[in-house]
Order: sequence, then structure tokens, then C-alpha cells
Amino acid sequence: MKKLKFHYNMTIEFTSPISNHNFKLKCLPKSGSRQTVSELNFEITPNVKLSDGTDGFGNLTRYGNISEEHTLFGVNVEGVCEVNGGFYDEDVNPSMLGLFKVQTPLTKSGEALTEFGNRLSLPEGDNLTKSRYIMHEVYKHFEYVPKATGIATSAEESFALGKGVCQDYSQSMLSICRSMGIPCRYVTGLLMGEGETHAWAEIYSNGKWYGLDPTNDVEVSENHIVISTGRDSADCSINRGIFRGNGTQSQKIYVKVEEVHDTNSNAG
Amino acid sequence: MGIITIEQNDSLFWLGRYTERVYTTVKLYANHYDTMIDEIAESYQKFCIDMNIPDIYGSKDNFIKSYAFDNDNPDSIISNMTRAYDNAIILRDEIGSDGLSYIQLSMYDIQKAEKSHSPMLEIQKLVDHILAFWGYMDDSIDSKRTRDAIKVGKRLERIDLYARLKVPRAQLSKEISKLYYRLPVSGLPYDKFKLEQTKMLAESEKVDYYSIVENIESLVEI
Amino acid sequence: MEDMYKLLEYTDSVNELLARYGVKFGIYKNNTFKEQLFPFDSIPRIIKADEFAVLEKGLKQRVVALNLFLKDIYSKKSIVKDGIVPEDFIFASSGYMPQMEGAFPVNDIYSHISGIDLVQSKDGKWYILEDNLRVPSGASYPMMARDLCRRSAPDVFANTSIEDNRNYADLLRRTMDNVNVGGHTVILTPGRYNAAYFEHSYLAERTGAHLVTNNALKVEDDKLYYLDASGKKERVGAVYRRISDEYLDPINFNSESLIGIPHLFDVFKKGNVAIINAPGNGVADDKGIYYFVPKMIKYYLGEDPILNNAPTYLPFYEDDMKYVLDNFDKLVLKDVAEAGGYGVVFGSKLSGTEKEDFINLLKSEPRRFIGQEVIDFKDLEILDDGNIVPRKADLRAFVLMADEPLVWRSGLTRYSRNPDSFIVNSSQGGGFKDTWVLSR
Repeated sequence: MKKLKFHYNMTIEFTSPISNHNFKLKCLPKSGSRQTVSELNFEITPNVKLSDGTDGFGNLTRYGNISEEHTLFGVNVEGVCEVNGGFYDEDVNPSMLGLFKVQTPLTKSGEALTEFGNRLSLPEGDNLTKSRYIMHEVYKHFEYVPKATGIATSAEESFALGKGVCQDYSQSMLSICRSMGIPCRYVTGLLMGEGETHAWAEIYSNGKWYGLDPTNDVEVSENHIVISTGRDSADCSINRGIFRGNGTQSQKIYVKVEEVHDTNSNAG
Repeated sequence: MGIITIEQNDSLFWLGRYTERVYTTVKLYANHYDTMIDEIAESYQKFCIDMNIPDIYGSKDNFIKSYAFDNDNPDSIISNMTRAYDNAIILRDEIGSDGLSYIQLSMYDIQKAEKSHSPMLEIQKLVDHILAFWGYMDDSIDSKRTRDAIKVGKRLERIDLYARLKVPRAQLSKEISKLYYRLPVSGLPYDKFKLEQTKMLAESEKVDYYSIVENIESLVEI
Repeated sequence: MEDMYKLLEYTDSVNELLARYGVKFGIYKNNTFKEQLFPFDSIPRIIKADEFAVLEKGLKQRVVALNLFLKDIYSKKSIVKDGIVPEDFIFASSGYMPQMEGAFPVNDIYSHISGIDLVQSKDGKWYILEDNLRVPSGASYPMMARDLCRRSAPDVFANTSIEDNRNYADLLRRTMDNVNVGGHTVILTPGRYNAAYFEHSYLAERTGAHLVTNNALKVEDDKLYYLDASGKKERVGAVYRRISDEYLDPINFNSESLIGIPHLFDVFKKGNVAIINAPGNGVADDKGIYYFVPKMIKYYLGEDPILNNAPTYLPFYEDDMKYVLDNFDKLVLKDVAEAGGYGVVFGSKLSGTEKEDFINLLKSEPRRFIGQEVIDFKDLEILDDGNIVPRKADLRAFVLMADEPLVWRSGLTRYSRNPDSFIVNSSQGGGFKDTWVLSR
């Protein structure tokens, strides 16, 4: 078990003022059998009254409306997350498992993914064994290139391009796993270190969820904090908003995750 | 009940304006129609000048057709009738299916007039149905707010048209004073200063028709 | 019942009144919106009292089961676990909305207003053709038509015992009030350029609900408010929405929607407003799930279905695929994702290559189609150009879930104007009739 201190900050600047801004955030890690969140500190700019909810996948949401004009929208989240490990029992309604076998518009395979899937010779074994293999093949196929793809890029498009970021790696992996009948889901989360938010895949094997991180070709460990899970990246958007106004927006994200060692801990 | 949205207020007001515009312009058109039957001179040109609408007609025959029935001519009677209908159709729950039916019938009347060899007979029905609508409104629409929004539109449009046609001061002044009392109790947003000013303009020795039109057009803030 | 023919002489006057009251539907032709009168045929469909009593019982049973199914699907999914409905037919359905997981509609009612389409075969047996649990339309037309027929031909109605169908507004009001959590009831329309705008406005007038577009509504502090022009706002307790799921709320569904209300779904999920019908009902009314409705009735209610489906085959199952291929020419094939008479193919009408292409498509996407026996419809008489001729017709029955299930003792009878067509949809040129349910 590791105790991680996390910090997530997002600011969006608008070149001209916007108003009637409705937003929904999915940026709060939730507590469950995998991880326990504490000492949560949340701030929003401009400061408005917020509501809390959960989505259909059990992810935490926080939402509201800013009616006044503003040119800056900011969210700051800090807290501590104790992570038990990479695999865990289901927290979400297990009857929904079948949903994670179905492709979505973002994971649906086209020519490139289908052909690639047909050429794979999967190892014998359980879903985890097969998925590890798929992860490695996806990792080898992609070249990590930021800005080659966007948030709306589908698995097929990025896979045909052979370039992309964690979202593209993960959705391509989901696409292949689903075509092999393996239930799997998309995860948005935070990774030890400094940088941006991260994404990976979770696959279902022997009654448990296992995190696999195809961007780094590693199994998800105590260094990963899960924020949200869903069918694809669209289900896990950290910020969804609509507003009145035009002008362009620029978004900055800062993430920092570091391990904390309790001073009074007697663990070696 | 007792709640009216901004959109509904807007539609009620414009329903009042367009029914009045159709009613008054139809009457003017009917007078000109009669004059033009045995006339060679192009008297419609003066009509265009009075109404402050562009003269796009070229001939008396074309004026008779286009001013009444051309859907593509934004000044035509049928275009204004269509606008009245477009506002009424979204007000079924305010004015009732019966109220709406008179506007629907007026719409059919103008469409029938276009196809008729004696259009003035159908146009008479159009006038009857608009009057029936106003009568229905007075008699059967219970909500005062609903009635007032339509009536303010109707009064305001009449003043606008009368000022453009430069009717005698007494006639214009009478219409303005009716609006002067109704507008403040209607619940519609309006410019108090402009209302006072309009009243004063109509009372002065030499009526400044142009300023009255300008004032009236921006009086209600919808 | 010879009196029904007496109405023929009033055909023109009834149609004139329908025009007067703007009984129309909208249609897009070459991208421009046009309003069309919905052609009305004055010869009514007549259903005897005892015959309708059976229909009524069967319709209630069906709609109760469908509501239990929806509740089950968006929570425990017992029917899937118990192997009655394969999960492919749930999660791969475009009508399934994961957002509805963990949402609990007031009184467990999902489909408040259900439009169940039936046909009668030549031997007099009724078959269910389709369930419409999203935003079924059409009740307003017969409501209005009855009123106008009675006005035109009072003598016809003086001598018959017909259930008065003008109570639909009361049934609807009772249904809306039953789930209203406190506040106004509104009917949410996408606007006047919608095919069913007449109905939206007429139902608002008759139920006393406010007809609104999204501009008049706003969410604040997890509650929905109705905005008055003077600036005051009042709570809304129930929304009878006449816009489809995806457009309901741009924050939770399609973000491109300009006709929805941001956060409406969040308010619903908190239990602070009723949405009529609930989102996500599409999972229970697609043509694939239709096959399973008789099984649902057995599963949830432990009863035998009172009303039958048209004999249906699911190519998803191997045996059924074989049957469909062996009997292709006598079956009708339907695309489960399509509605309104589209995506319907008669096996016998395909040419050699068309048939080959279709069978290949069927084999590659078996989940996408159902095969059905062609029912030998009982024709109804209509007046066409002065002659009485037979035409295909269906019946849309309306079932309302209020404090108890209610069946409207009437319905929308639609007929095809084309003698060769089985398709009765108004968007494809059909007309409608009044439906008389005899009271004794």
C-alpha cells in the first residue's frame, strides 16, 4: 500500500468573456476497495455554489452554473489517496459488466484495428494473460507523439496513424480486447510524478478488475490513482461545459503526485 | 396559470401588431384598389411613399398582385398575415384553439383571395375574421395580461401606421392616449421617458410625425 | 352500426373544421418545413365492448411488464442473469443509456405514456406490432376529430353508445399529476417546426399544462424553474417532454443540443423533477427486444400474455436464422434501429441481387434484424374519390401509467392511402380515422 499526495489543477482562459457557463466535472477520485481518499480540498474559480452527484458508472461529479461573465475558469483539487494495489473487486454494479464488452463510436474498430487483431496470436490463458499480450502489442505499435491526435480522435483513427497519447493507446487496447470478447473499460487517472492527467485500461479477469497501462507497457500499481471509469474517454471527460460567448480558449493542466511517508510510521 | 414567459409576451405583442397591420393596410389597399380600377395614373406610387415602403412594383397591375399576395415581398399583406400566424401558432395554450382558429381562417382567406377573380370578396372575409379574433379576445380570453399584451401591440402598430400616413393630430392623439393608459398596466417592459415624449409630440402645434414613428418603434422593450 | 356510414355525408364539413382548427402535422420536404393537414376518413373503426375489454386487459398487462423490465434493466438486471434476455440485446441497443443506472424515476414509472401499435388479421385476431415507449404521438388527432364529428353530425352520436374519447386530457393530467414532485407541469416542445407541434400545443391547452421551449426553463440548485417575463421563477415538478433523450440535456447527453436544458437530468436524478417519459426507454421498445416481451410478461408477472406478438424470428438465434433463410420470401424483415415505417423489407419484393446483398448483410449483422410472418391484415373501408375502397390500417392504443394503468378507450387508427402499401405512417402519406369503442 502506498500513500500518495495528489494535486490537480486546471485553468481555462478565454480570449473574450463567456457567460451562462454550465459545467460538469469528473475530477474527484473516489474511495472504494482499490483506494481511499482523504483530506480533500477543492476550489473553483469563479467561486460558485456547486452540486454533487454520481454518474451511471458510479464516478463522482461536481457541477454548477456560472451566469456572470468571466474569462477564467479554474479548478484545483488536492488530497491524499491511499492505494491498495493494481487489481481489485468491483465497486460498480456488477450487472453492468456486459456493457464493457460492447464497442462505442470511439473504440469501434475499422480496417487497421481489425487487420491488426486478426494477425495477433493470443496466448492461451485467462483474460489477464491475453490482455497483457495485447497491451504489449499496442505499446509496440504506437509512437508517443503529443498533439498528433485530439480528444475526439477514435481508436481506429489513431491506430491507423500509429501516433498518439495515452488516450489513443488505451482506446486502441480497449477496441482489441472487446473484439476478443474481453470486458474492459477506460480509466482516467493520475500517475506518480509531475505532468498531465493519465489514461489506461482496466480489464476484467477472474472476478477482478486489473489495470493495464499500454502507454508505459506496465501493469497498474500503487502509483496510479483512479479518477473515473467508463466505456471510453467520452464517459470520463474531466470537464464538460457549454457556455455563451465566442473567442478561443486555452487550457492548462498541472498534475503532481508524490508519495508521503508518515513520520510516525513504524513500517520499514 | 398566471405565468407568462418572455417568449409568450413577445409573441402576444407581435400578434397584436401584425393583425393590426394586416387590418389597416387591407383597408388602405381596398381604397386604392377601387381608385385604380378606372385610373391610368400610377397612384400606388404615392401609397408607397406614404407607407415608407420601397416602390418595387413598376406597374399598377403588379402592385395589386405583389402588395397583396407576394410571399417574397416582405411588405405584402400576405407576408404580414403569415407573421401574425407564426406568432399565433405558438400561443394555442394562451389564446385557445378557438382564438387561434380565427387567425388560421384569416390565413386561408388571403390564400384564397390570391386565387380568386374577385379577391376583394375574400379579403372582406379576412377582415371579418380579424375582427372576430379581436372580439373573441375581448370576450373569451380570461387573462388580463394576455389581453393587454395583444392590445398594446395592436395600439402601438396603429399609431405607427397613422403617423406614417400623417393622419390629423386629433385622430393620432386619441390613439396615443389609449396606449398611454394601457401600456403601464400591461406588464410589458417599456421606456417611460419615450411614452411621455410621444404623448407630448402628439400634443404640440405642429406634429412631428417622423419622431413619433421613431419613438413608437423603440417604445416597448421586447 | 349502420349509423357509421351516415358520417360519410359529413366528410367535407368535418374536414373543413379540422382545417379551421389547424389539425396538422409538419413535414420536411427539400429541407423546408411544411404543414400538412392530416387526412381524415369519416368511416370510423368500430371495436365492440367485449373485444376491447380483452385488448384493455392485455395492454395493461404488457405495459406493466415493460415498466418492470425497464426498472430491472437499470438496476439488478435479473432477467439477464436468469438467461431470459441475452445481454447483447441490452447493452448493444442504442436505446440503453448507462446514465440511467442509479436513477430512480418517481413511483418506478418509466413509460408513463405508451403507444402500442396493433393490427387485426382477417380472422379477427389482434397482434401487437410495436411498442412505443419514448415519445409516442397521435392521441390529439382522434380527440379533436371526435369533437368535430359530434358537432357536424349530432344525430349519428345520439343513437349510438360510444365511449367518449375526449377524456384523454384528463387521463394525461392524472398521469402527470401522479408523478409531479411539487410545482408546475410543463410540456417541453422543441418548437413549432416539429412534426407533432399541433399535438404539443393542443395537449397543453387541454391539460392546462404550460407549453414551453427550453428558454423558459432553468436549473438552479438542483431544481428546475419556470421563468416568468417579469423575472419571478417558479418550481417545475413534472416535465412532459416531447423531445428525444439525446437532446434533453446538453451537459449530460448530446452537447450539440440547442433545445435541451443543461442539468435537467441531474435534477431528475436527484428526484426533484419527474421526466415523462423517463430517458432510456429505447432499450425496451426496439424491434429486437419486442421478441422478448411475451417472455417478460411470464417472467415478471407469472402470467400468460393476453395479447400476441406477430410471429417473430430472431436471426441472432441459429434456429431462427435458418428459418428466416428457408422462408425468406414469405417474411418481412425489419431493421431494429429504424422507425416510422423505414427499414422494412418484404422478402418477396427483392430482386435476385438485392436479396443476395440483404442476406449477406443479415449474416454479418444478425442482431440488427428481425423476421416476421406477414400478417394478412383485415382491411378497413375508406372513402376515396367518392368510392368506398378497402385499405390497410393499424391501431395505436394509448396506455397511461397513473396511480393505476389506464387504457384510453379509443386510439389512433391510421390507414394507408396507397392500395398496395402496408405502411400507414403519417410521414409517408397515410390518413387517420376515429376509433369507436362501443360502451355496450
